[in-house]
Amino acid sequence: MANSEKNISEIFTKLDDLKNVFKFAESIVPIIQSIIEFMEEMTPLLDTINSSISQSAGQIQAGTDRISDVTSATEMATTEILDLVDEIIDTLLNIQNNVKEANNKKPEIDLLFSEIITELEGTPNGEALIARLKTIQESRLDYQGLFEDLSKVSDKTNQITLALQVQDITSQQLASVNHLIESVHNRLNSLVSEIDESEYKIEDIGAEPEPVRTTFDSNASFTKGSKQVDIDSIINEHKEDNSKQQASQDDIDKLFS
Amino acid sequence: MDLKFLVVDDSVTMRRIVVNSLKSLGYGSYVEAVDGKDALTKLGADATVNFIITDWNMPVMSGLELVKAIRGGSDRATIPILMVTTRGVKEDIVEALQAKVSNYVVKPFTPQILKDKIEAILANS
Repeated sequence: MANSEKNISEIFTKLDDLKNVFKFAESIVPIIQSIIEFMEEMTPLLDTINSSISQSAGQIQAGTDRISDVTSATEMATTEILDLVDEIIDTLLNIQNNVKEANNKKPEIDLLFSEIITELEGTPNGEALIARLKTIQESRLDYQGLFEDLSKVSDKTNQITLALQVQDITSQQLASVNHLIESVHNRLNSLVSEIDESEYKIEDIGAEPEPVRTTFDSNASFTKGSKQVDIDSIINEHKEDNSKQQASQDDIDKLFS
Repeated sequence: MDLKFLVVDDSVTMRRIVVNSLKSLGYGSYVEAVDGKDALTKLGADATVNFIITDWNMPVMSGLELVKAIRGGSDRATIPILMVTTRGVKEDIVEALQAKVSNYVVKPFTPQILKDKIEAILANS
């Protein structure tokens, strides 16, 4: 009898547990329902994100192409400037040579003027002719001054050439930016593939572009002045270190003791 | 000593600037190469080349690889090599020195810097 009561009590306990399970299930049904609704809303959203990423990846390709175009265009423009600067330098060199030659003849011409003036002295109309000759002599070009001015122009022209090193330096910076963009492009490609492999394949977006320069210095900068001084001090420091590293016989002996 | 330079750079602009600088310094003899591999070919074909000025960052074969290739047992292993590059980080310079580059110039450079380094290399060689 006692056993039967115990069994019945256990049955009621189990029924209570079952009732609780049903109550819990009843309470989570709306949550599951909201999750389903959320998933339904997310599906088109994910699709939109997927499509947007796909389009962005395509635009990145266009961006890298444009950067490459900029590099090519600046290189062409720089070459044209260099051609013109070379022509200017050659012309300046010719003028400088002519001026130098004229300047070298100056003592001879001065002597000739002096001889003519001596010959004219005391002759009729001599004074007037001498005065005119002296005016001509004084108004002659200052060859030395002209030569120095031409040298200054030549130096400035050379400085233009050197300043054009900026093209190489900026092309390396652009190549570095291109490399970064390509990395983002590749990441986006992977993301697109993961979101919807069947719909958006890497091939759809386009092959990975070839970099403008396969190697570049991302830290390249156009800084005039003290940079070479820093480099020289590193080189000297390294040389000193190396000379210190030249072990003496004592050092070698210590190693083997 | 008559110098004949091998100017190695993938940038046509930089090759022009280096060559113009050499001309302004009175060095008129040179050949050009577009990368390390091209430089090795030109060096092999022209025994009169006795000085190399090379960039570091180049496709196909970098300047550093070129230095290592030349120093690593070629018959031109002792030829002076001046590295002219944008790379100014200490680790890079030390790496280049360890590869036995003769001297190092950072871009942008002036003809005077180029002259000083060429003369310093020749004085030590």
